[in-house]
Amino acid sequence: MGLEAFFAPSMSSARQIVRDHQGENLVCAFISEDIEGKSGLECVAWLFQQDPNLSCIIVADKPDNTLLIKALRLGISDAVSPSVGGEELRRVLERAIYLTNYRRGSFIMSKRVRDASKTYRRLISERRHPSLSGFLPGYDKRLETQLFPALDAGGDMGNSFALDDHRLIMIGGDVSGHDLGCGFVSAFIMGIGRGMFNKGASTNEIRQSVNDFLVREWNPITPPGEIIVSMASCPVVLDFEKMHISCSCSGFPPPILCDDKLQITFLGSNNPPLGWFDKPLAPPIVTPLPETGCITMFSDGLTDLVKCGTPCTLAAADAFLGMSDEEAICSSLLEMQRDDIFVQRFAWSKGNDNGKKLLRPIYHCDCHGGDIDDIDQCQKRWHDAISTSLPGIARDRLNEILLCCREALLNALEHGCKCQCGQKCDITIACVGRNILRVRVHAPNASKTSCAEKEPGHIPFGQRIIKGYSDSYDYDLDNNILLLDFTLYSPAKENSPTNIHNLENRPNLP
Amino acid sequence: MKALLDDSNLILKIEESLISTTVRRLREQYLEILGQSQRPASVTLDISKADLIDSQGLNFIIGIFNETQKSGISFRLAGTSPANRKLFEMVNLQEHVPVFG
Repeated sequence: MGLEAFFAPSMSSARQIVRDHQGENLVCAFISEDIEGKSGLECVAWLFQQDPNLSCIIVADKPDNTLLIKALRLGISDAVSPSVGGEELRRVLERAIYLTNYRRGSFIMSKRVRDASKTYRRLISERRHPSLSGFLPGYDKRLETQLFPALDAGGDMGNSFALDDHRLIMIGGDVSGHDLGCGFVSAFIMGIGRGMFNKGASTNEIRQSVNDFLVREWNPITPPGEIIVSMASCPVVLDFEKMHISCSCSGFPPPILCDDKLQITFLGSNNPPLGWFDKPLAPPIVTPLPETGCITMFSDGLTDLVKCGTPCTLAAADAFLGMSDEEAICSSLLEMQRDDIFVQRFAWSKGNDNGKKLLRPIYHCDCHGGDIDDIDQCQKRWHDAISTSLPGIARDRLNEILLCCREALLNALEHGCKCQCGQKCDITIACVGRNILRVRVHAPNASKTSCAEKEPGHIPFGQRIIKGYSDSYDYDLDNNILLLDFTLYSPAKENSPTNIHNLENRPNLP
Repeated sequence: MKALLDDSNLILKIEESLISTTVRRLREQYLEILGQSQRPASVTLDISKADLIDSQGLNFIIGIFNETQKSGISFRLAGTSPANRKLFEMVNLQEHVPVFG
């Protein structure tokens, strides 16, 4: 097995061996019932003080119960007789080595999690979230933020605050670079922005001030050869008095607005960041504020991840927002992280319904006519998005939902896109409150062929499947939008805990 | 698809989902199997491993059923999971095709 054995006839020589080989890979210790200078149990206790992860095996000929119980309580992993050998010895050794390595791995991991949790607790402090209790009392609302820095210094930033005049400000930004200079600029602009908003400045005025600061004050003193600093920024103002949303997105991924019909609006387009030109080029987008909606904002660190295989940005955003600090450290998602990741999401719903209507969009994707051959890949992405966002969902229910999405999208690709690559439709999935999954499939150019006009004998199985499995079916014939609701928890089986496959284990729910 | 001729009963075991992207190939396999073997007295379609059945999968089952009926071959569907039985009830498949557990 490639092991080297050390023999300690006495306690002092055992100490010497451990001292001599400290830091080396001592993987297990066999301790006889009695050892010169100490009892075997005292030796075990001493060894555990030196290395709590070491597997200790007591060697005793017909050990009595008292000895075994004491040894077990100390934490020994096995007990053998002095005559042990051959296959049994090999098995005992293998198990002991496995346990030592496992404990050492867990120990290192838990230390990493502990250290990193402290960092994240500092980064994601509660101060980032405004107190929403007094803000918009007639609404249910939920605000979530996550920031996962890739390096010690970085320029990603995010903030949100409520103003007295029924406005909520969400800001996301990313100052170029990963050094202390960009960290300084980031913090400075964050403070200036907040202060100006509080003093009543408009988004345009703030944007111009930040741009002026970068173009006229900061970048002119950049040493020759250094790259100038720019800032991708995205302030979103939700005005609940005038019921409109205003967003000036400059070089930042456009935030995604989703309403209760799962209509998706991108609040921005490809505009240059601040700091490049004298005048910021991005015109602000103003759009009506729906009574129920959700805005998801994220930095390009998240969009990079989507290129690495996550189903879509909304799915990745939801996955990050749902992670505890510990989960984030162990997450395979962060292994692919190349840049700071900032995610912020605000959901609101008019009325006080205990969050029953609050939206959590988890998937949105355009599908082209040619995707009909890749429908299995599409389905895999829905599967990944839904099972990540709803980890407790029952397998059969998940299959039913996937089947309905598949039927609806196949229909949209066939009749809306005519299977032509140039044509597209879209599918959006969102959780509504704690118990409903809503799916929207939109086929803009679908022909209005009714089933009756199709070939004789045609059985509309797809439609029957969709109507049968969904709890609510709404087809907007004029716009070719199919809206389906799936209840995740059946009230008829309320008393059966096994039927609760809803969102209970998500920490970020209202 | 695996085929097993037991006496004169042809057992066809579906080992994947019965969905739009698999039915064309499965249908070709079915026709090939039928062409190679003697005319069976009955055909059993075992769908115990078909996790997912979509509308085209249902059409595949009905297609085989109709063809066997025309040829005077008895047909039965076996290995239906509770989830698939729920689907068949929902679309009234059992009105047309004998569905066994």
